[in-house]
Amino acid sequence: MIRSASAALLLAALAASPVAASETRSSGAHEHGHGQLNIAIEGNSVLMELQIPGADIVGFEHEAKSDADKAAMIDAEKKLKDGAALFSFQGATCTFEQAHVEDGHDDHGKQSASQEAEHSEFHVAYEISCDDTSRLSGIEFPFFAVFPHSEELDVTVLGARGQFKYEVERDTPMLSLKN
Amino acid sequence: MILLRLTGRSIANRWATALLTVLALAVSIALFLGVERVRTGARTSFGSTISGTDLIVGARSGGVQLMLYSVFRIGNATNNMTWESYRDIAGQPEVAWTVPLSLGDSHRGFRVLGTTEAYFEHYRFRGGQKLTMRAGEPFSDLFDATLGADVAETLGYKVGDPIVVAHGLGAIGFTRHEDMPFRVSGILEKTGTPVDRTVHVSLAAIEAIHVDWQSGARIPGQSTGADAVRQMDLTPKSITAALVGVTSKLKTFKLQRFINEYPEEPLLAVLPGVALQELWSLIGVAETALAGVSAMVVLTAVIGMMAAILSSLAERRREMAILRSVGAGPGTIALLTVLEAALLSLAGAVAGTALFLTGLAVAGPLADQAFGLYLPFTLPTAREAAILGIFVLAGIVAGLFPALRAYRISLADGMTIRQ
Repeated sequence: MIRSASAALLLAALAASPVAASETRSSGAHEHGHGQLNIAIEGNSVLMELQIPGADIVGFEHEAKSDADKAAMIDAEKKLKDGAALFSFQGATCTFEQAHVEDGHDDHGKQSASQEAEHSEFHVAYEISCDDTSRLSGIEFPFFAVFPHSEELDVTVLGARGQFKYEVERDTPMLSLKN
Repeated sequence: MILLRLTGRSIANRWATALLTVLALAVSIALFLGVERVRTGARTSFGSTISGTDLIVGARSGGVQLMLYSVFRIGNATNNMTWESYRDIAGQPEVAWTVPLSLGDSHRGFRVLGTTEAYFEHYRFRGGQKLTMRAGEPFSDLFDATLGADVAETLGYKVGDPIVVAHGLGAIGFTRHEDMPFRVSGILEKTGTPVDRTVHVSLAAIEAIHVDWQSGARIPGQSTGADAVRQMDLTPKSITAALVGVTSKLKTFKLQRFINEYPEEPLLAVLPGVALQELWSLIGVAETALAGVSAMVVLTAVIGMMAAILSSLAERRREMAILRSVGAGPGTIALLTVLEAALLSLAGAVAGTALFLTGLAVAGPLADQAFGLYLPFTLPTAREAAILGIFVLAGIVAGLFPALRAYRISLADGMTIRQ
């Protein structure tokens, strides 16, 4: 329960921020085909945050009005929630405990109402527990196979050994955590 | 086995040439290993300039730039961050500790950093090592200054010496804060980081030296004495940047997002490890160039060995002819030549490694002391062992060419009487 609450809070922070920022007018970067994945490791818990343009996931970013679009959104959210099918941890046994998906369209839409382009993003937070994170050797990304529009993920990893940044591309969908 | 013995005897017979060849190989391989070690050492030293800090916060600019001016003291901040924002961030529940940094003044060419005692507690380098004092204590009084090792060494300061801080960053301070003399309270141990080239004072001290100054110039006719300054409220209005530690790594991204989207002031929070990595990717080209140069040195030595064996063939024509006449086939002769190349390069690799390890044991501590280049004495790593293996293989391949020649000419050449 506490776990799920903390993940929900995290997402609230993710979602609420653009509204606050709109008071002073600012716009975040948004690049199609280019998602961000943040991974924080401490003890045996792993927290992952995925921020990815709607175009990468469902192939469009306009508001889902037609039945087909709506079905695509529902399907995408279901796929995003199943973290174990998207990211596969190597070296240690890890279980995806919690996942929260938000499609950033509504908040984002309000913020950019006065701007010419309307972009939407999916924000997903995963909570994972592993038997021994010190044995984690890498992550594989079936993610790219599940979402054919995605091209690249900027992965930031925080752990006991420090802070690292990687680029994972569709051609080589894996990441080595050994240095 | 007999072939090996024959090769050994043959080499022993030509020991002077062989020794020189092995020496050339050994020097080149030692050089290559040395460059490899310095290269990885430089990267590690660079990467461990700051450790244990989860976020660096400053005015919104770029991650690399924030890193450069706050940690490496290179360049200047585009903007400061206000004290209110700093207090607000320090008060967040995810924050375990903060260290404010205030830059902008100098002392005879060295940067003056205004900070708090927390700096000595939380600034870590090289995998969590703390700053330690070589002499004296960290600053505790308003007019105390704690010097980095290079500052004290270059300027010849001792604990207790008075120093004067200049306004601005010129090597010759054109506007000096002479009415506010500081006292050296302590000198830090050498770290190999920009800390060595920094004069540390308290945040309040930075305010104090600017009491009678306005817009970078002295207010005419106004001079507040040191004692009067002590009575004033010296809370800074702004700082340059801050180091932040979080209570749990899992909260780093949340705090980073909070700071990056802080509505009251455009701020930037960077992950120092990631910013260092980005910075290294810019300057790391030099690293590749170094590796390229040393690879060429090894290539030259291998070619040199090939030439030495080739020219030795002339010297050995009789030896080979005799071997042929007692029944050795041309293949055996070729094998002898390849074996010789293998033995020479193996000897070169072993001698080179020994040379490298000796050099490392002697020069490693010196490099750390002089340049802050951390070169720990360890046996060759897996990577270095692989390089040695490749080198020996390359030596054997290089031996194939003379072997082919020996195969072709051994009999005819040896039997022909030269004029």
